[in-house]
Amino acid sequence: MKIEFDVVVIGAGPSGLSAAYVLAKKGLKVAVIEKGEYPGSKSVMGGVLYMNPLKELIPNVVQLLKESKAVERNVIEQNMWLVNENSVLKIGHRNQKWKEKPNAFTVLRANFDRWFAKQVEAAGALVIPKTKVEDFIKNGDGKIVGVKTTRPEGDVYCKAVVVSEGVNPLLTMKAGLRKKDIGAKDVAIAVKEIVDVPEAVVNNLFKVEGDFGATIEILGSWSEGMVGIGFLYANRDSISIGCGVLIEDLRRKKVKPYELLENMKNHPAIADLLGDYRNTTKEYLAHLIPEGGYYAMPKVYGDRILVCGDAAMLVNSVHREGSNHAITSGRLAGETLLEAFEKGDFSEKTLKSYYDRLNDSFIIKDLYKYKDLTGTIEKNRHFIEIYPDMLNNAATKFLDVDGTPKGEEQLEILKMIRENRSLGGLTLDALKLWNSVR
Amino acid sequence: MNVVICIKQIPDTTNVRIDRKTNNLVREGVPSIINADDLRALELGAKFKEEFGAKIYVITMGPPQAKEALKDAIAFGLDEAILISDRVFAGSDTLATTYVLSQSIKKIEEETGHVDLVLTGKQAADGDTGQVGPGIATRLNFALGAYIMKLDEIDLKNQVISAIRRLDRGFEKVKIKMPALLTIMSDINEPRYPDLPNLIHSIKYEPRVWNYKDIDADSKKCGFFGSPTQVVRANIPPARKGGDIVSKNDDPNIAADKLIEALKKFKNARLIETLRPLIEGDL
Repeated sequence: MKIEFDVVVIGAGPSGLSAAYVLAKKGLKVAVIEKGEYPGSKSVMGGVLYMNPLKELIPNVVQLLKESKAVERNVIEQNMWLVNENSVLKIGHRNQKWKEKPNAFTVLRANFDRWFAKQVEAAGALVIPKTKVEDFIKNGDGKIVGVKTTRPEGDVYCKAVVVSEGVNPLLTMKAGLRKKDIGAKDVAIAVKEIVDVPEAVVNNLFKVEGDFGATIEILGSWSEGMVGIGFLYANRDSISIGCGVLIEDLRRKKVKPYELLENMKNHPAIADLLGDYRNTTKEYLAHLIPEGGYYAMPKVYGDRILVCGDAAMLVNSVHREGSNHAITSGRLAGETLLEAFEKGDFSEKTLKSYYDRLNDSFIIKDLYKYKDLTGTIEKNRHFIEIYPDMLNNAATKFLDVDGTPKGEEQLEILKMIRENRSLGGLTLDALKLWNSVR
Repeated sequence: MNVVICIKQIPDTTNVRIDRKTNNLVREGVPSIINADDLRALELGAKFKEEFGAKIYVITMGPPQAKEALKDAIAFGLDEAILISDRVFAGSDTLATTYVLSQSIKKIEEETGHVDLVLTGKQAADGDTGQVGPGIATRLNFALGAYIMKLDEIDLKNQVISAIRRLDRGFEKVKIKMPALLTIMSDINEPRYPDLPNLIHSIKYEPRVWNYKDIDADSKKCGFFGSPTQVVRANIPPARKGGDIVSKNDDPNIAADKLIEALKKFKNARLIETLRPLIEGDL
C-alpha cells in the first residue's frame, strides 16, 4: 500500500503544527510526523508563549486557550533583575491592558503542544507520533518525492515537505540546504527545572492573583561572566526556573549546565524569593537553542521543501522569542505551499516566495537587526561582567545611609563607574550596543 | 478462530510517585501505557491473525481515556477494539472486573457465534494480583493455562493447544483444550514495532464503547458495590537513602582512601586478599 499525502510535515512542534494547520484548513491532505511519544514530549522552552502569532493563525485562540488547560498563566508583569554577588537591582513593568488582552502566557510545552496538535487534527491533518523520519525519498531526477521513516513499510510520498525538525538540522543537511552542522557558537543550552509550588504561594511570590502571572529575567553575576540569561516564570502551581548560556562559554569555562542552574538557584536574590521551594523539583529539562541568528540561517527553501522554526535558526535570543518565530514561519510556509498547490508548481522558484515572506515579516527584520549583538556581547564581556555589578554598587551608594553627603555620594558613584570603565570606554560601549540593537 | 485479548491501561510505573501522607499513588500527570505482559498477548494475537487468519478482538475496562490504549493495540494489526466503560464500573476489584470482562466476552460470543481463545497478560504491573485472567476463565468455564511462556503447537482441528507454563520451580508442559484462556508471560515474545500503515489505521480508528447495559451486566455486581475487597492498609518501603559518591574527579589518593573506608564499613564485604596490604598500610 502506497501511503500518499499532499504535504508531509516533519516535527509536531509549533512551526510544523502551524504549517499543517494552514494547509489542512484549506483541505489539503497533510501528515505531521513526530518522533516523540506525543507532540510536546521532547520539546523544551523557557515557558513564555506570545499570543500575537497564534492569533493570526487561529483568530479566537485566546478564548480557546482560556477554556483549555493548555496554558498556565496570563503574563501581566515582566521583570528584569540585574544581580551582583549579594545585591539585586529590579526593573519591572506591569500592564493592566494585558489583563483584558493577553500578550503572553506561561506554558508547559507537553500540555500546549498536545493541545495545539488536537486543533491541527480537528482541522483535518493526521498527526503520526512515535515515528522518526530518517531521510528523503528522491526520484530519478533527484527531486524529493517523499520521506522514509523508521517504521516497517514506512515510506510516505508527498508533493512537498516542510522540515520543522528543531535545532538539530539532520534532515536540513540531508536535503543539502545546510552545508555544515551548527557550531558551538551558534547554539545556547537552556537548562530548566519545574519546581512544585502551591498555587497560593505562586500568587504570593509574584504578587498576582487568579489566572494572572509574571516573569523575572535575571542578568549578572550568576552566569560567571558567560553570555546568558536566567529566568523565573510563574506557572499555575509550579515555577519554571532556568537559564541559558552559549555552549561555547560552557566549554571554555568547563562548567556543567546543571551546576550553572544550581549557582543561579543559590544566588541570594533567588534563595530569598523561593526559599525551600528551590528544591521541590518535579522535572528537569534541557535543550539546545539555535541562537546563531541571521548569519547562521540555512537556505530555507528548495525544490519541494521548506524549512521552519528552530531548524531555520529563527530565534531572537535578545527578546527570548523563538516559539512565535516558529509559529509565524510555519504559517508563512503553509501559505506559500497553498499558492504552490494553486499553481501546481513546487519548484525552488515558486517556493522562494517563502523566503520573501519571511523577509517582509518581523522575523528576519528582527534577526537582521540583532545580527551582531551576540558577537558584540561576546567580544565585550563587560556588558555582563561589569555593568550589572556597577549598577548595583551605584544603587547601594545611592540608597545606603552612611553619613556621606548626597553630593559627595553622587560624585563617588561617578568615580566608581569611571574606575571600572574609562569614559571613552563607556561611550564606546554605548555606541556598540546601540549599533547592534538599532 | 475468534480471539479476545483483555488489556489494561496502567500508569507508567517508572514514573509513579507515592504520596507519603496518604499512601496513594500520585497518578496526575503520569503517562499511561499498556501493561507490558498485555503487549505480549497483543503480539501473540497478531501472530494468530497472520498464521491462521484468526479474528482478534481487544477489550479493556476503563475510563474514556483508556481508548488510547485500544488504539495503540489496533496498531498491532488487530481487527476490533471495544472499550467497556461506565461509571458503575468505578472502584471494581478483581472479582467485579472479572464479572464485567466475562460479560463482555459473552457479548462478543453472541455477536460472532463463538470465542475460542481469550488472552490476558500474566498480571498488571499496577495491581500485581494476577487474578483477573484466571477469574475470567472460571466465570466462562474455559480451560485455564496460566503463566504461559511458550506455545508449542496449536491444533485447530482437535482444538488443542500445547504450551509450556512457568512454575515456581521449573516448567510444565501442558495440553489445553479450547475454548481456553491463557495468561501470558513476558518471555513468550517481543512485541513488534508496528508498521506505518497499521499505525496510521490505529490513529484514525475509533473503538466501540459498551456500557453496563450493553453487556447485560447486573450493576450490583460491578464497581464499588460488587467489590468485597477492602484495602485496610498500604505499606510503602522506606525511601532509599542516597549513597556516597567517590568521584573520578577526586585526587586518586583521596578517592582510594574514601573507597577503602567505605568498603570497610560493610561487615560482610570480603576484600580481595591482594588489597589487604594496601589497606593495612604494608605496601
